[in-house]
Amino acid sequence: MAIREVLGIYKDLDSAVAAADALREAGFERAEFEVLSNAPYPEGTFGEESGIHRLFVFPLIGACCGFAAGLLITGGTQLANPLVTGGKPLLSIPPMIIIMYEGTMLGALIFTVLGVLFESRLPWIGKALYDTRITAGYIGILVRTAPERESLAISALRKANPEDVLTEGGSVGGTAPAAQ
Amino acid sequence: MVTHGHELQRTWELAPRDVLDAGLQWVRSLGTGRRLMALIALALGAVGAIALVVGPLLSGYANRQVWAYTAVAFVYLMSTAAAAPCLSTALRVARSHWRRPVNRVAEIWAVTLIIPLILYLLLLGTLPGTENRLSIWFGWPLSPWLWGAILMVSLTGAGYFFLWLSSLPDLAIVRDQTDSARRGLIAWLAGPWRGSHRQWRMIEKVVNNAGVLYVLIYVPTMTVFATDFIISMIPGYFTAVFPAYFTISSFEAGIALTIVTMAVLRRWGGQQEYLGLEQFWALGKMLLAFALLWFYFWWSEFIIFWYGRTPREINVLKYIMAETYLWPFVLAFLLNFALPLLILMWNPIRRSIAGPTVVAGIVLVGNLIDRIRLISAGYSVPDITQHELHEIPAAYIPNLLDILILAGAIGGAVALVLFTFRVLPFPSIWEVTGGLWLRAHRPFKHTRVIVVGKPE
Repeated sequence: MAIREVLGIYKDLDSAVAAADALREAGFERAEFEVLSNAPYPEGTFGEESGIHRLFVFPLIGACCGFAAGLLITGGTQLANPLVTGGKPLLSIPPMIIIMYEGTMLGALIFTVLGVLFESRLPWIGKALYDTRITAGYIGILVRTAPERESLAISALRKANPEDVLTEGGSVGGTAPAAQ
Repeated sequence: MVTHGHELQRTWELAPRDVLDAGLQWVRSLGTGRRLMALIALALGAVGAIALVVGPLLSGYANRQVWAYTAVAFVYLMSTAAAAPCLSTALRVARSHWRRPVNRVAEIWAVTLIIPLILYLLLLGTLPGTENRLSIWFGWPLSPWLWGAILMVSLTGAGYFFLWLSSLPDLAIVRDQTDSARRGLIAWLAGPWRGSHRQWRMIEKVVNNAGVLYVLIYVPTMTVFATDFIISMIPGYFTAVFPAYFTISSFEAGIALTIVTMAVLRRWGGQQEYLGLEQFWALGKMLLAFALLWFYFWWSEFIIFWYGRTPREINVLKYIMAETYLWPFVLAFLLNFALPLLILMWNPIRRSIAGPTVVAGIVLVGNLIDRIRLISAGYSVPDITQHELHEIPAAYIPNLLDILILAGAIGGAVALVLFTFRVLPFPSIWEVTGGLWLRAHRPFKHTRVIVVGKPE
C-alpha cells in the first residue's frame, strides 16, 4: 500500500505538542507520526508511550559469540595439538582468560554497532521528508499515512499554527488557502 | 545567583537557542589563533614523525633502548588521551547534569587513539616472544603481539565509536546549518540522522553503553600493557599490584587532561558560560581522590618489596625507585601525589577554577615523568630472560631524537583534537539543550532557585 508523508514544521514546543494532540483527535495512531527535533525531549513530552527496544540483546549475543570464539581458539588449539607439558595441565588457563575476554568484548562491540544501526533504522533506506530547519531548533511532526488521509493530516497539522507544512509534492503552506 | 556558597551555573539561565547559536558560532568562527595553534601542533607532529623514522625505524629492532621514548610516547598517550573518555563514561553513568558540557571535552580525546595505535604496531618489534621468559602469556602462541594488537584495535574502535555516537546529533546540526560542511566528511559521518523520537531514545541509551564498553576494554588493555612493557621487561619485578597502579594513575592523568582542556577552552575558547566553577570544583574533588589512590596503590606494592628484602627485591627497588631512577621517582611521587594532596586539601583552592587547573597541570607533568621512569627502566635491561637483576643497568638519558618523538606524539594528538574541534560544536548542543528542557526556575521565599529534573 502506498504511504504518503506530511511534515509539519513548528517553531516552538507548545505548537508541536498541540499538533500531536490534534493528530490524535483526528484519529491518527501514535505509530502513524513521529517527532523530529535537534535535542532530546523527556520521555512522554508528546504523549508517546515508552516503546520496546531490543538493543540489550545485541551486545549479549555478540559477547556470547565472542566468548565462544575465544574458547574455541584457545581450548580447541590446545586440545587439537596436545603438547607434552611435563605434568602440567594441558589447558593453560590464565592466557586463555585474556583471549576469551578479548573475544567477548570484541563480539559485544561489533554487535552493539549492528544493534544501534538496526534499532535506529540507520541507514534510512526508505523515503523520508525532512527539513533542515529541524536542526535549527524547529520541531517537525512527520505523518506517514494512506493517500486518502493526507488532507486530513494536513488540516490537523495546520490547526497548531505551523511554520510550514510539507508534502512529497512540496510546501503547502502553514495556513489553509483563503476561500475564493 | 549565589546560594550556600554554590555559584549556580550560568548555563541554566540560557535558552536552547543560545546553546545552538553558541555551538554553531564555535564551528563558524575558525579564527586565525586556533588555526595557527593547530598548524603549530601539526608541524610538531610532523617533526616527531621524521624523528621516529630517522631514529628508531632506521636503527631497527636490534637495540630496544633506541625505542624507549617511542614507548614512552605511546604509554603517555594511553595514560592521558585514552583515559579521558573513561571519565566521560563515569560522569554519564552518575547521571549528573553538570557533566553535560564536560563530556565533549573528555570524549574528544578519543580522536587521538590512532596515534597510540600506530605507535603500538611499530613497537611490536621491540617486544620479544614470550617463550623462555616470564610474562603474563605463559608462552601462548603469537603472544604478546597478536593478542595485544587485538586489544589495541578493539580499544581504538570502541573509542571512535563512542566519540562518533556522542557527536552524531551535533554532526547533523553542522551538516544542515553550515554551508561548507554540507558535503563531504561531516555529511557522511552524520549519515541520515533526522532526530526522530526513536533515534533519540536509542542514542541516549547507546552512548552510555558504548562508554561502558570502552572502559571495559581500556582496563584490561592497560593491565596487559603494564605487564608487557614494564613488569616482564624488568627481571625479578614480580608484582600483582602494578597493573592496578598503572591503570589508576592513568585515570588520574585522564581527569587532569580533561581539567586542563576545560581551562584552555574557558580561557581561549570563550566557554565561560558552560565551563564554570561547578565543573572545576567537582573534577578537582575527583583529582584529589585519585591522587590518594595513586599513593595507596604505590604503597601497597612498595611495602611488599620493602619487607621482603631479598636480593631480587632490593635490586628492583634500587633500579626503579632508590638509585638509578631516584629523581624521576621522587618527582613522580611529588607531582602525582604529594603536591596534589597538599594543594587540593584546602577548600578555597579546591573550590576554585585556578586551583584544580594548576594541580591538573602538575599531574600531567608528574605522569609523564613516571612513564619515562618506568619505560626507560623496562627498555634498558639487556637480558630480560633472567629471573632477577644481577647487575643494575644505568639510567637511560634521552637524546634530541627521543625528545622530538615524544613532543611530536603529543603535538600530533593536540593537532587532531584542534582539527576535530573545527567541525564539532562546543558545547555539545544536544546534551546541553537536553538538560535545559529539564530545568525550571522557581521562586523560593525571598530568592529564586533553579530546579533541574531527572526524568526517570
